[in-house]
Amino acid sequence: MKKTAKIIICSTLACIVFSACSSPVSSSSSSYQVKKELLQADNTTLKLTGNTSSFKAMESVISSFHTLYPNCSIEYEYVQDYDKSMLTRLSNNDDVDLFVTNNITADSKNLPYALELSSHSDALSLADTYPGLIHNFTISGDNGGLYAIPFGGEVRGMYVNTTLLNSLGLSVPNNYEELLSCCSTLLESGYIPIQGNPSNFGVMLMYPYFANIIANASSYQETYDKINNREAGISSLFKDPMAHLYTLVEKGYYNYKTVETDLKFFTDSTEYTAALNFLNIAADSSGNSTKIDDIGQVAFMPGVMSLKNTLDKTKDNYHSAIEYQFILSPTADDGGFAYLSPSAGIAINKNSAKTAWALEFLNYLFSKDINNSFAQEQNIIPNTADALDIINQTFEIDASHISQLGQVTFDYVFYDVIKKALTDVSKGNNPKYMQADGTMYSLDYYMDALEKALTTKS
Amino acid sequence: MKQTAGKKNPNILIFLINLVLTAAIIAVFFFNMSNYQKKLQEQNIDDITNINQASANISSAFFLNQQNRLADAVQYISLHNFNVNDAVSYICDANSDVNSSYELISKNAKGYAAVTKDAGFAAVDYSSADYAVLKKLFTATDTQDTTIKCTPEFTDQYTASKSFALYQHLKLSDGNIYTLMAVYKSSGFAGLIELTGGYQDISTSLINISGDYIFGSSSFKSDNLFKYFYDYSELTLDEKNAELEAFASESKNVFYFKDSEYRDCVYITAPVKNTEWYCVTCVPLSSFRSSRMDMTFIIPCPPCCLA
Repeated sequence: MKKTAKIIICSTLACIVFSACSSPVSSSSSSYQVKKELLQADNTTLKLTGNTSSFKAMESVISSFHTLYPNCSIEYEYVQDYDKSMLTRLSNNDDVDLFVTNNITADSKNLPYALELSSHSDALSLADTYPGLIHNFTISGDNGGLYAIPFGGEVRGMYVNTTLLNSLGLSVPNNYEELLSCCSTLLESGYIPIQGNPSNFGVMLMYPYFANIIANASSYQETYDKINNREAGISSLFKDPMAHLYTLVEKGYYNYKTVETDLKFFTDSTEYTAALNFLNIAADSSGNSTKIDDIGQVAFMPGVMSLKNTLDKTKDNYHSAIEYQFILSPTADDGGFAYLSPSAGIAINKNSAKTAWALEFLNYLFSKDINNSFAQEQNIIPNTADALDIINQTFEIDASHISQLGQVTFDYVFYDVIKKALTDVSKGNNPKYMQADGTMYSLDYYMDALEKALTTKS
Repeated sequence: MKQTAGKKNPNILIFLINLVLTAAIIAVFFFNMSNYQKKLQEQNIDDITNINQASANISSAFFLNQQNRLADAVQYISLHNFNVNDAVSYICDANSDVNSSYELISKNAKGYAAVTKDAGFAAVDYSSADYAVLKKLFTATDTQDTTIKCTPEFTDQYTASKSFALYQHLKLSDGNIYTLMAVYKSSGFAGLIELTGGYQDISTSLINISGDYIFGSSSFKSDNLFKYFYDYSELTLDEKNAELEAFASESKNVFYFKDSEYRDCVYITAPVKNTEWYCVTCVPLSSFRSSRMDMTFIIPCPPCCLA
């Protein structure tokens, strides 16, 4: 009996000692498998450059990648005057392995330094990504290929100052009619309801509507071909969104000139300025920014979903009590539209000596679970196969209100044509752009200009 | 029957005494171990403080040396009443330090690096909105202030590398005020001041009194040390400001916060003599020598004693 007890105790002891000595088992995230051969590789450090002083979402991915591969460290470096500086860095091949970039197109200056990724399909798996987003970043033609991968998708919408709306007994509008009603009350109360820098206000607010008209047309291919062939009369397709924007401007619900002059708001198109202005934070006489109040003067501000990071941070920094929410801009009679366009992406320096590790990092970053967490922290739609489902669930809209950039990409730069038309309308109530008699040009005037721009082949 | 019961009682008694003794041994072990850990912790902090002070001393020597070089250059240019071209040409010929380059910048944030390029000098342009802090320095016009100051870390327009600079304003023959910067690549300076002292993942940085990085090792994120604490240790703005105030008043020089990998770390600061800089060294607590309480010896004790 005593002997048996001793054996049991000794066995228990052995178990404890062995379990204490054994090293922790390396884990792998559910959709990513650790490459054991890389664990045997020498220690290495990769340099990833980006254009923001802080990139927390990426730092989290870097950290978890380092946990899986303790022999590989990745350093994130903020590079100022990014486009220009990166060209210098890449052309000197000076300590860059991975770099944040917008879409690398056939005429991009960074193209000669970016690794063509689709030819590395043996080392890079994009199985979890959303094909529409990958397609957007793919260059067609003889020297085509994939030179960067978008981190995810951006959705354009509108930030609503719910504190200001509540103070006037208003609720968040769900459709164009409710938006007009809110704007009317706000204007009567002395506010200019919708604000934003005119350089991108029009497209930020209305482009999803334009894209949706094409992508969800009863006959998509027919509509697409008409627009692609720049057929006469195609501007009439877009009369509703043009008219809706025109009304907002005509009624003074958007009046950038007054805002610029009286409030000194939205004088540039940076996210930082947008956040300060939306939260009613202004520079005092000594040049320091201070909070004016906790109600704000901007009820509606068009912007992208990822702007929320900057807004949240600014709200926190200045102790603002203004509450806000991001909605799809209710620009149509039946609500808003979700238009998915690629966010910034990431590329590999083709002259890097560490492309194998860089490719593996992309495998990790674009595995489903990791990309989902990244996108959540970055406030973007993940670059995962179910991107459209996520939009659907996030905004509770049906498929007929969702479009993506690939569906509205033509042989000419359609976006630029629409952007100019919308910018012209949004500036229409500035006395500088009015008729000689001091009235706004008619909607037909803007529609004619749009028709001309859409149908004129350069 | 009685005999058997008497035999059992002493066994239980012995078992109970063993149990008490074992408990006492464990308590003593714990007590000693925690004391030992405390001493080790103090020892580690002392070691890191010494490492940080050594880095601060190196930085101070570096600053004094570079300050003299820059002061000499400014004096020579001022004495000769050079124009822009002469000034850049002189610096270009005079500078033999491969680890630094000089840049002469006008108030509009544009200027030249003292490096020949295409039969002229390499143009540099800091007018981008990203250089708001530098632009403020360039517009300062007080040439009476002869103190040599240091920029926060920035991307040098000539090399496009992370750099920092010592600078002084000077007046040239055209009557305008310019800024002469002696620019150093951060990576070159890192090798000088990053002393490991046997600690894994140790990193060192230089900051000014506001916490802005003068030179930031890549382990230090954001552009300000206290913003970094704020971001990664989930501080409130008030907590961040309180920490900054404690640092600025030099009432606190040891900080415990997380790093960008969310590891608990110690940050130790020390002023750099003859400068307005502070040297800060960060070490993850997990890298401390024998920082973990080793239970493998204590856990088997009770079963052994009982056996």
